[in-house]
Amino acid sequence: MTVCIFASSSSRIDNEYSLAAGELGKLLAEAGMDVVFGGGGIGLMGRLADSVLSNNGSITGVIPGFMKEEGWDHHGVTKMIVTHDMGERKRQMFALADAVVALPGGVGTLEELTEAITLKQLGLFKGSIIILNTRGFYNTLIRFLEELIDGQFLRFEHKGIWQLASTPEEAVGLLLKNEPWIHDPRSIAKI
Amino acid sequence: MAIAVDDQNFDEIVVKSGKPVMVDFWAEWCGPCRMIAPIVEEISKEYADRAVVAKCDVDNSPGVAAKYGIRNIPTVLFFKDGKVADKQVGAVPKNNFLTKLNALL
Repeated sequence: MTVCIFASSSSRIDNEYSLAAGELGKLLAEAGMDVVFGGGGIGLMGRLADSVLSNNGSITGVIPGFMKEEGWDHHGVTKMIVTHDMGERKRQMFALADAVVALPGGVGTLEELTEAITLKQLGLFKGSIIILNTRGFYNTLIRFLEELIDGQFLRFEHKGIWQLASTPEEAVGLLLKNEPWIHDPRSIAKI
Repeated sequence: MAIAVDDQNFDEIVVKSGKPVMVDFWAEWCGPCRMIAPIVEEISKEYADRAVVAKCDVDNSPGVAAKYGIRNIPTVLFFKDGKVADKQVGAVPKNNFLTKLNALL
């Protein structure tokens, strides 16, 4: 199983997020899952990759050429796919992923997570979408998504697109369960 | 057509070649690799008399990939007299490959 991780590249955020990223990397490696991520060398991305590698796991980065030229790439990953631009990076990550996990992150992570939700809503991505809600980081977003349902921008059934995990153990547990969502998402895509 | 090389025939075809060699390191699951594949094929036809153009699937050739430190894909290595003379990482326009190959002719 290949799991794609979306995560912050900031190195200034609270250490608790970093510890959770490290723990998740260790658990994914121990579970024998292949990891795909944005290829960053620092922040939660860097911590995750270091942890996967130090636990003998496999991790593939997907990074646009310009970020590599800037030296933002992780230098120890198993493989690094160098893409032309940000759009191709995301397409490549989704093409490899059987499931995605969003760790805390900024607008880049948010964009990746909401694209995953959109693709699944449209039946274009079928895997689990797990939000690792360390320290309640995503509470505001979850509340907003619920407001979208209340306001009928989304259907109630769409709440099943994503799953919340409060710890890395819970996230890996959900990945292993790999519960399918509805059979034909497109039948309820139109609201 | 680009010659498929792997751990077994890499030395024979690439290292011992009398002509300059361009090797495309790729993988089935790599989108940018698929993008440059047609370019590599074109170059193999256009340079058939002057250079050897090869492609190496990194998943099937762990020995070669490790020996040449291929972590980024796509990576294209340019060999002259058995040694790496130049390198191109990522999907880039055909001209970028030609410039590097022409410099070795």
